[in-house]
Amino acid sequence: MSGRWGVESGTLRFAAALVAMSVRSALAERGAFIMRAVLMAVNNAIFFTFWIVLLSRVPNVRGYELGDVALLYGIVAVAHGLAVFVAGGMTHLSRVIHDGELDALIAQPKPTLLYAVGLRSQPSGLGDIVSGLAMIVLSGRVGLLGVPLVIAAGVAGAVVLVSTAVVLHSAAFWLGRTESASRQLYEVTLMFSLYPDTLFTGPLRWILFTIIPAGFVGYLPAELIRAPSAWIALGIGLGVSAYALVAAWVFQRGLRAYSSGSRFATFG
Amino acid sequence: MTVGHPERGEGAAVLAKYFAFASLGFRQARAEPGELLGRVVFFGLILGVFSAVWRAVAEADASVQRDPREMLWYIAMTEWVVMSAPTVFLQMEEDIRRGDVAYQIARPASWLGARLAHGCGALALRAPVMLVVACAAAWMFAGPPERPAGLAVAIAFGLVAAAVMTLFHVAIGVVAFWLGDVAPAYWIWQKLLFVLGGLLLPLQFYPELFVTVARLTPFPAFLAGPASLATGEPLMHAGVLALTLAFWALFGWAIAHAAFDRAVRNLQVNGG
Repeated sequence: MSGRWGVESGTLRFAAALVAMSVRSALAERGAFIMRAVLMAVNNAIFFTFWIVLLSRVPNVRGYELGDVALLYGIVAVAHGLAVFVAGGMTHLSRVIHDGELDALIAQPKPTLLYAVGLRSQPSGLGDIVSGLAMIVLSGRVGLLGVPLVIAAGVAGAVVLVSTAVVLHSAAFWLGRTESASRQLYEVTLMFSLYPDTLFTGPLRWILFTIIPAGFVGYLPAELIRAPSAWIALGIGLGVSAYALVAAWVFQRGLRAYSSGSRFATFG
Repeated sequence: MTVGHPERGEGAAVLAKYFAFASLGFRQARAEPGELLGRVVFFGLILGVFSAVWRAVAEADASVQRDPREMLWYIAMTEWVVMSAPTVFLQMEEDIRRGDVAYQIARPASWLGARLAHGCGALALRAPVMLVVACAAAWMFAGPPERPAGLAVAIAFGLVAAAVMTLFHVAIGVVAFWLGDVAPAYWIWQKLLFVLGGLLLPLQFYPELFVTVARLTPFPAFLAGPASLATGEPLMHAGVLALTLAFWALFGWAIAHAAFDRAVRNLQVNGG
């Protein structure tokens, strides 16, 4: 038991070191780093003007007022920002698989998936995190006591998004070049997460809590902050664990089908 | 054997050259069905989401004075233009990064012209496919268009707007000579297009000052101008829109050329 714990804590330490290394690498080009982060924050602000203009005309959209939409948008921005800042390799995973670039990673002692997603950090993620936090503060829905919930909600959403990206990009193990389609489908998950859940009814609502896990990225975490409850926390915990396990399983199955790119590369 | 006018023969040869580039762009776009399918699915879902948004807005307050059906056809048109215009600047960035541009500019064809023709070829494939998706999804979610004649005019102008946007994408691609990575320049362009162009909301929803500023930029002519022709409240008359698009096409091409000439001068002075 203690041996297993030792392996897991070692893997966690390695993951933290990998993330720190990839962030330092991204920071090496400081100008580009800052520019991308700032532009992403501007991007989010511009997109949000849609809701500001629309909700200046109507009091609410199916129960969502401007503050609620800001909270939802903020949580999703933080989750996506964390995901691409910490595990930026996820957006290139299908290309890495298709081009045989996993060769250099498979032989490494730690889990291959960890290397594949943690090797890159996308600076734009920092812009998402900052602008997301600003929206959450401006939403007026969170007090000081809600800060731990915001952190938990952001991390939960990030885990679901990384899991979704891993599953979608792992399609490259079996289908070949899927980079564009995998990215588009990831964008679909993100897009649905950004709109009030009350807009969607019937079977689509079920889909948003199963096949497209938008419900676990935006709606439930936002609801947890708005009206904290043990049931919602439990639901999020179960959902996050399930998506993470499915992602790890799909990637492992994919590795069995992986054919080498016969690359001669060094790594480390 | 016929002996033609030499100048006409030269002109035809030039046209044939760029037509060949366009044909290549068309075939390359056709060879990537996965990308097109991804765009199609994404487009259909976007329209599904916005049909839900506008239905909810109509339920909330009738004072918005906009028919949800008309709004969805408006968004279908603006999104169609955005999703049809090919991102030629990515290939241009690649040409510059790999150094391929050094031998491409030595060819007896303008590199800018070749990239524009290539983009127009891709547009010729994408635009009809995305138009079918736009119309099918808008019809499915909102019902038939209220003004079919206006919609037909909007489609014609949308196609021209997408071609002019492709030209501006070429100008963005030239930025790679200085920045290396065109993504930041494109992001700024894209966000301005979304807001000042009226991608999700007609410009009439915004404050007066905002609309005045937007009209000084090319963005309304690309999106809100054509799309609003399908609604009961056009942003500008069709004749004005045609002239505006012609002006911005010339402006975009002049900017691209001036920037490219400057970059090539630097390339020769610095040795690449």
